[in-house]
Amino acid sequence: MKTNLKWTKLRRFNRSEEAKEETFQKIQNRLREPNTSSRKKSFWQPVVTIVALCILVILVTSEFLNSDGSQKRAFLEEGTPIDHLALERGTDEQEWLLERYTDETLEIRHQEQIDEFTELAAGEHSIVDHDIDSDFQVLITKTNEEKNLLNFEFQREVTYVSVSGESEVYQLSHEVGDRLLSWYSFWPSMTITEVEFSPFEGDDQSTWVEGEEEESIIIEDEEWLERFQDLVEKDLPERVDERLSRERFFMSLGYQERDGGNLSFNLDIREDDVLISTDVNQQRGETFRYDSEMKELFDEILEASTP
Amino acid sequence: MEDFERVYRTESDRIYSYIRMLVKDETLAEDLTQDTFVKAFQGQSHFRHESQTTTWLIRIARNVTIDYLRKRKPFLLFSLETGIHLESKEHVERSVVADEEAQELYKKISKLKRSYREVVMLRKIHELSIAETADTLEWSEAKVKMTLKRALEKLQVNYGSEEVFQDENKS
Repeated sequence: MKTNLKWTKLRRFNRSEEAKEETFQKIQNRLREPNTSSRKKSFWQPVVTIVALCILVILVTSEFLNSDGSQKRAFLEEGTPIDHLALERGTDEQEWLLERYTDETLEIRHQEQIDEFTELAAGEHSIVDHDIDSDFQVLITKTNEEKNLLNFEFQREVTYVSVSGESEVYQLSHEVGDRLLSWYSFWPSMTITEVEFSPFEGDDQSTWVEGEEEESIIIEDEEWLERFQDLVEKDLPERVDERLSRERFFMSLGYQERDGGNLSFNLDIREDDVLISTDVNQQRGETFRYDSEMKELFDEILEASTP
Repeated sequence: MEDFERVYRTESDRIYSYIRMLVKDETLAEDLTQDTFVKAFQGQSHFRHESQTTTWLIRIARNVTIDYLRKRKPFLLFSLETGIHLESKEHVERSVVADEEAQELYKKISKLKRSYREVVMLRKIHELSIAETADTLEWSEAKVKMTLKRALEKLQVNYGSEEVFQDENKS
């Protein structure tokens, strides 16, 4: 077994003594700052207090004058320790996810994704007068095993959510919906083992050329798969209403954790971006726009796969 | 303050290198090194000496760096995964070490995804124990072992047959 002595050489990079010294001086200056400010504190404190009170009065008055009776509250407190999320679409049955998971239940367990969800959803949101029409549920399981069931309704500009068993409906940014729907579309918690895509023929969505005229492109290259996996897990795509062009592809994703559990999409590699649509068979679906990273990846794949 | 200066003199190169490998930017790495030592100084009363000073500083450096990158939304996750220098395609990083082989290793590690990069940095370069690595990354020890194994396999693939990467430090 060979030991790589190079490892420890990466402990210390090239760094000039000047840069090191300059950083130390800055640290010293910053550490001295609190003393300086405390000396000035006695003079500035009353001024700051008066200004702050004035701003507060203005804000309260403004809020009062503009008040439309809306309230704000948090349905998920910031810093709530979450073990995992479970997502399921297609049922409006109350308490569904509390009762049982199904084969279609997607679990989000990656800490980065849980953090992102928390960042988008936690904290105060406006309570609005809206009858929620939900077929998308998220079950939050906290680290103390306490569970919260949320019912989501997604609109283009806004996301509505209510906590199961409670009457309040909260209004959130559309990003929450975009994020949840993109996760639900691409199953980010599972490992993509194969991407296959084939050109469409014509604009008839029910047919695509399978074999003789144009071969399918099957991607099993680990680096490409990892890059694709990273993009669908981490990139927040924009949900759009755009139509895919006639030059689009049919794309199928295979997953390690689900035998035969491929997901199908339409894929349009455009000049500056990529559209991926879940609307394969003219049924209800979502179209996501990915930016240049995805575009670069598919350009590379196409270039390498074209004889 | 004298003690603090001594710690800075002995540890700052290492902390700088750790941060720079995460952010791949010389100037930003200096700034975040500065933030790390300011936070360390301010929080030194909480340091219980249960871990080594280096491990404690690396933990602060990691939090400082990730906090910084998270605040840079909308580049958040992209940045965390690949290093912020990729926001600018023109950015070409200067050589980080004089040794050519080590520079090559750096380049290959830089191409790994963040979880692989982090576990390699902590276990192989900074030689933290599995427990210390798990604690720093807030992972289970099993995840540290598995991720390191995969990261080394990936490095091995990138190197071809010329090198052998194995997790020889089992502790």
